[in-house]
Parts: sequence; structure tokens; C-alpha cells
Amino acid sequence: MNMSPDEIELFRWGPIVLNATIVSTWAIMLVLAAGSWLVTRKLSPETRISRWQHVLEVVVLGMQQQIREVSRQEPGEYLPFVGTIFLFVAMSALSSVVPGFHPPTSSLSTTAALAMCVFIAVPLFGIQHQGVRNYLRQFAQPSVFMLPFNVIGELSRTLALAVRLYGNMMSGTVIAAILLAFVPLFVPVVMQLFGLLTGMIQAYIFAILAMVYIASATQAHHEEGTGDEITSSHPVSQIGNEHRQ
Amino acid sequence: MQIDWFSFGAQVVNFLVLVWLLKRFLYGPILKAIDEREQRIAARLQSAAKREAAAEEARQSYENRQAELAHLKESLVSEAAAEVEAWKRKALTKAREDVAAARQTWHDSITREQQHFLGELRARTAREVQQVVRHVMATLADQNMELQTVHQFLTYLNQQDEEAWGSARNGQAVGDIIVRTAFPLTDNDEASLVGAVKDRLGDKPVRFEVDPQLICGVELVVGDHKLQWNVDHYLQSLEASVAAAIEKRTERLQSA
Repeated sequence: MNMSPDEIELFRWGPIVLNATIVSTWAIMLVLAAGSWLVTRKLSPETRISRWQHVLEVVVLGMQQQIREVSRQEPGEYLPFVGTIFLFVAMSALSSVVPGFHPPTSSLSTTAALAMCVFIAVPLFGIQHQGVRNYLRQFAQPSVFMLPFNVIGELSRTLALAVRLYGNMMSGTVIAAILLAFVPLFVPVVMQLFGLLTGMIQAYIFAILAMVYIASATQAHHEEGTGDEITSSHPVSQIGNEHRQ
Repeated sequence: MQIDWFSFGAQVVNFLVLVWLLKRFLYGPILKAIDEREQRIAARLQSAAKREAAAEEARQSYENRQAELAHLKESLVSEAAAEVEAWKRKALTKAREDVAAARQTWHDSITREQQHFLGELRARTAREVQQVVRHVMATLADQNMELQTVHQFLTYLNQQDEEAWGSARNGQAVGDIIVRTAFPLTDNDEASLVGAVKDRLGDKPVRFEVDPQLICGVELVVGDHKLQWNVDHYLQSLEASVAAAIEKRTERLQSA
């Protein structure tokens, strides 16, 4: 049994290996992009809109609302990044119900890639908002002795992000495969339904955590400027802690 | 559990491409459409607010106009009512005047008819009385009424005081002395009358005339002065009694 879709090679040309992870990722990308294009090519600014436009508006506005609540900032610049994380992970979880389809998020390479994107995006947004010096200075807070711990924390949370998503997504697939061997009828279906629920929750958690990390990096300067460090930084930290649990 | 670094890199690129694709085909158009819709709704709300304000203004204007019309109507109605009241009073006054005039006309007509009737009554009664008296006297005393009338007139002349005759003498200069009777006189009667006149007024020519309108009487006219005796005053008494009876009857009918 293949534990990871990375191991399913479909095409190899020298060092380039086209495995199931990449192909399934492309499939999901195609579905998302083509679906969006099909709906948004005939958008209507009127009050009477099509059913699919309504669905997309609900999704986009829901993501905006979540970002606004978590970051307490306008979601404009964060929406493409965080929203794409959510949609990609959610669509991967949904695709797990398709027989023979390997969701790309059950590959550690994919989750690590997503975590790496978050890992890079956090300092980029942080530097964009507060400048290089202010961003780097927060690693030496509250004292310079905390610098190694802060750096390790930054790395470890990225690692945790990747492993958490991978573990949850892979576990669903593995459990379904194991149960299929023992109880071939009905029970795997229930487990797959649970897997869908878990996948949606993981998509939400991954996107929210990414937003929390970005928000914590972008709000430090604002907190210092207003002197409201404790009260405004705590909600974000609390949300992050809640999601970690 | 291991990471395929080629897959790792490819997934990073794939993810970034997906971010770009969704930004291009999903977030951008959707948010743009939402913004446009919000702007249109805001414009419509603004337009609706303007229209509402205009409608409110129109309503206020209409209410003011309605109030003015109501006030005007009230004043017109009160004015019309005053005019009607004035016209009514005027009409009533005119009607009362018309009724009074009609009543007066009617009353005058009644009075004229009454006077005419009484005149007729008096004349007829006088004629009847004259006939009756004539018959009675001829039958009972073997005397005619004319003789008694002349005799009675002579007695009347003798009873007149000097003042009455003085007035007659003053009127002598104005005209002739005329003795007017309702019947032709005999020569003896004429001589008796001329003698009576001569005693009082002197020797003056006396002219005799017959006037049937005199009811069983004789009158002596000297210029503008007149001495007469007839049964007219008896008839006037009868007429007064009849008139009083008619008046009483009329009042009773009117009160009923």
C-alpha cells in the first residue's frame, strides 16, 4: 500500500518525476480555476445574480469575514493567500471521496510546501507592514536572550503546521484503507464522511493559523505604536492557542 | 514519511500559481462585482432618499395646500352662509311686505266693496222705506209723504238759530237760492217754502229743482251754504249698525 501519493510515479524524465501528488494538485487547480472562470465570466453587479455567483460570493465574503475577525485588519491583501490555502486544502479533502483519487494534502511534500509558503509569507507581510528592522526586532523581545527561542518557535510552528495537516489528511486515507481490509462494507463510508468533516476542519485550521501568524507579524508594530500591546495581542494569541489545541 | 523535494518545489510553485489564478479569476471579479453592487445599492438608496425627501416635500406642500383649500372652503362656506342668511332675511322682509301689501289691497278692496254694498243698501233701504212710509201715511193718516216732508223741513228751518241763517245770508252773495227736493212740489208747498225763505233771507228769487238722489228730503242751498232735512241720517245710523255687524262677522271669521 502506498502511504504517500509521492510514491506513485506516473512519468519520469530525468530528475523530473510526475507523481500522483502533482497531477492531483493540477486537477484541483484546474477545477478551482476553471470553475471560478466559468462563474465569474458572467458576473452581474445587479441585485439578481446567478446561483453559482451567489455561492462564490458567500464563500469569498465568509473568508473575508473570518480574516477580518482574526486579524482585526482589512482582509484585502491577505485574502488571495489565506483564501487559496483554505480552498486548496478544502478541495483536497473533498476530493478524497473520489475513488482512486489521491488528495495532494495526504503528501508531506504538499503540506510542507504549504507550510513553507506560510513560513515565507509571514515575514514578507510583517516586513511589508512594519519594515525590516521592526520585524527583526520582535525576535529579540522581551529580551535579546529570547532570540534563539523565538527563532526556534518560528521554525517549529511551521513544522507543526505541515505535520498537523499531513497527519490529519493521511490518517483519514490510511484509516479508510485499513478498515476496508477488515470491514469492506458500510464502515469505510462512515469513516470517509468523518474524513470529510475532518478535512474541512483542517482546512479551516490551516488557513486560520496562517492568518494568525501573519497577523501576529503585522500587528507588532501597531501594538508598539499604540501602547496597547497586551490587550490587542492577546486575542490573536488566544485564537492561535485555541486552534493549536 | 519523507519529503520528495522535487514534489515539494513543484507544490510551492503550484500553490503560487493557484494563488495567482484564483486572484485573477475568483477574488478580483467577485469582489469587484460586490463593490459595484454595493455602489449601485448605495446610489439607489441615495436616490430613494432624495425621492423620499422630494415626496416628503411634495406631501408637505400638498398638506399646506389642502389646509389652505380647507380654510378657503370654510371661509367661502361661511361667506355663502352669511349671504344666504342675508338673502333669506331680505326675502322674508320682502315677502312680509308683499303679504302686507296684498293684505292691504285686499283690505282696501273689501272696504270698497263694503262701502259700495252699504251705499247700495242705503239707497235700496231708502227707497223701500220711502215706499213703505208713503203707503203707511197714505193708508193710516190720509196724508202723503211729500207734504209731511215739506212740513218737516219747514219745522227744521224754523228751528235753525240765527247763526245758521247768518251763514246762509253770507252765502247769498255767491249764488242763487235753490230749493232741491227728491220729488216735484205742489204749488202750495212751493209757496210755503218761498214764504219761509223770504222771512229769513229777504225777498230773493227761489229756484226749485228735483233731485231723485235726495232720499225723501229737501235741501235749501244758498251759495256755498246748505240747509237740509232728509232721512239720510236715519239711514246712516242703519248703515253704521250694518257695518258694525259686518265688521264683527269678518273679525270672527278671521280669528277662526
